[in-house]
Amino acid sequence: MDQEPKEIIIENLISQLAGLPSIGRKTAQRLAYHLLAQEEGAVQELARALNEAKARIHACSSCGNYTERAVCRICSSDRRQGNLICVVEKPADILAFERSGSYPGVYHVLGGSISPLDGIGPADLNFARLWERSAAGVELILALNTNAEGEATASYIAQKLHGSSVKISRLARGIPVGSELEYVDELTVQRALESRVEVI
Amino acid sequence: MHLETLSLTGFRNYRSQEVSFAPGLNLLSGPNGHGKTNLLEAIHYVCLAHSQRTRKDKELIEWNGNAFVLRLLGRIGGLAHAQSVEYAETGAKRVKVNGRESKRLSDLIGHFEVVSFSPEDLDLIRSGPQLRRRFLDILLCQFSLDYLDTLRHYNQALKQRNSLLKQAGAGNDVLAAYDAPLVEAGARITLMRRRALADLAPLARDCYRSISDGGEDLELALSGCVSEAEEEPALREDFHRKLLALRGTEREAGLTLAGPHREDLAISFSGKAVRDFGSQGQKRSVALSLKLASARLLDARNRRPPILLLDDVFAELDETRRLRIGELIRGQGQVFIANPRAADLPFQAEKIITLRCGRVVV
Ligand SMILES: Nc1ncnc2c1ncn2[C@@H]1O[C@H](COP(=O)(O)OP(=O)(O)OP(=O)(O)O)[C@@H](O)[C@H]1O
Ligand SMILES: [Mg+2]
Ligand SMILES: [Zn+2]
Repeated sequence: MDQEPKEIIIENLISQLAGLPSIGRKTAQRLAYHLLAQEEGAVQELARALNEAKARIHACSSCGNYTERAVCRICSSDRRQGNLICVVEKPADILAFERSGSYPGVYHVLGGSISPLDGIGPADLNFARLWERSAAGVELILALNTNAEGEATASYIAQKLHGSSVKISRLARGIPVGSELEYVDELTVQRALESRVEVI
Repeated sequence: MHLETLSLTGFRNYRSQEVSFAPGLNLLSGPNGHGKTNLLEAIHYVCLAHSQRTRKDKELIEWNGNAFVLRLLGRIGGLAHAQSVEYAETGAKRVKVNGRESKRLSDLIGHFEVVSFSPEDLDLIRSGPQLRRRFLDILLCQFSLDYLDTLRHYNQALKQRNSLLKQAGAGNDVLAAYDAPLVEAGARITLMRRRALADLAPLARDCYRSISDGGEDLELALSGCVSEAEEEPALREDFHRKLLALRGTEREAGLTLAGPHREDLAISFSGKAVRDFGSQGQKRSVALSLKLASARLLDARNRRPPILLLDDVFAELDETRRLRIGELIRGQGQVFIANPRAADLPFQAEKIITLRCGRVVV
């Protein structure tokens, strides 16, 4: 019997969608069929939104968060305490703090953590700008993941700023060990923030 | 707590087989080489994430196959509990515990507590420190999720740090940064191991005494620790100081040279290492005592008896030792005994599972 020909285009769409985080093969199929059932305009709108986001969104020149401006809305807000800086690994981690609604300061995005196994050293992360921002009177809250890499990165920062007048604290335990900040709920984040402990 | 059914696919000589168990004493019988030990191994693997007889998980895959799957159903505190593991030739693994997926084998541990007895336990005494550390780790993980977490943390920090030590251009500042998680997790592991040993040692001494009719005083201790400090902060400090002193040597070796991964379980009679000075029979009794004691400790800590896996032990044991095992089994929870002949047993089995060529004979 002859093999039936493959539907290459739809297969490609499904595997593209399945490559997204927390989307399994089944969900990808459902999304693909949903998109195909839409009006052409709606699909073009989605494609345009994706392209525009990718083209126009970049890192904030101050904190490294995603923004369409030169400086993001958080850094340019006058309601924020500019001398309270919460240091996170990636932009998505900021969401956990913003959802809690109780954090008065600004952020700094490192872009990852020090991981020799993956070939990521200090030079690959946004430390230069962090040292610039670490002026007198600044408090850094280290909100890095509670895995070995996050702890090593926190220790690296504490080491580098040792002897400076910068105050450093870290989130109190309560965030489950080995967990990624992005997936922690608001209440836990708020509690960990309130009971943060001094490092130096 | 007991196991109800296990389905094995492509595991050793089991092509595809489901086996159900009784909550009490299960006897696995059948001729030599037909799959009794393999079935115990499957139970061990799906509960403890490793085999009791090999470190090479690939050997567990049926010859010519490319993956095995083990699916276990059971009850914990009256509630249904399901866990499964799929292991592929490529090293890819998929774990599911009550529907929750994960890629970490160790997520299997800590649900069904298991203690296994087999003639190979003698290696615990005879072989190098690795098996003894593993014995301690598996025991601790079965009553402390905190220990399991800390151990994962430590192993990850150790891997990172070793890879750093192998990079010629790695800065001292980054190395120092990785001292932090290593020291933090390491100190906690050492203390938790020591505390568990403090509980295990008297149990093991009693077991040994009753197996050997008086005789020597069995002593257990943790050796190779960075220091004898008893408080966490002091131990952390000592560990850190040791790492600093070892900097140059560690860079040359490309390895982390101090910490819990270098510790050993020291087993001795009045200060004399059983490994070096014990007779064959003494070693056998000590190995059995360690296992009996860990079953008692798990029972006390978790307030429920662990599942016992006994492989061919009766054939090898003399009358006294048989009696001690018999005492442990009586009135206990679920027990699996592999023995070629059903008639050899000193007690009545609740269920007899007869195996032939990787199939259950009905
Ligand atoms: N990866 C594998 N794939 C297929 N068969 C295997 C594999 N590993 C071992 N076997 C087979 O499994 C059998 C051994 O089974 P097992 O060790 O369970 O025997 P047993 O019933 O415990 O025997 P005994 O009474 O001698 O202890 C052997 O026949 C061996 O050839
Ligand atoms: Mg056997
Ligand atoms: Zn910004």
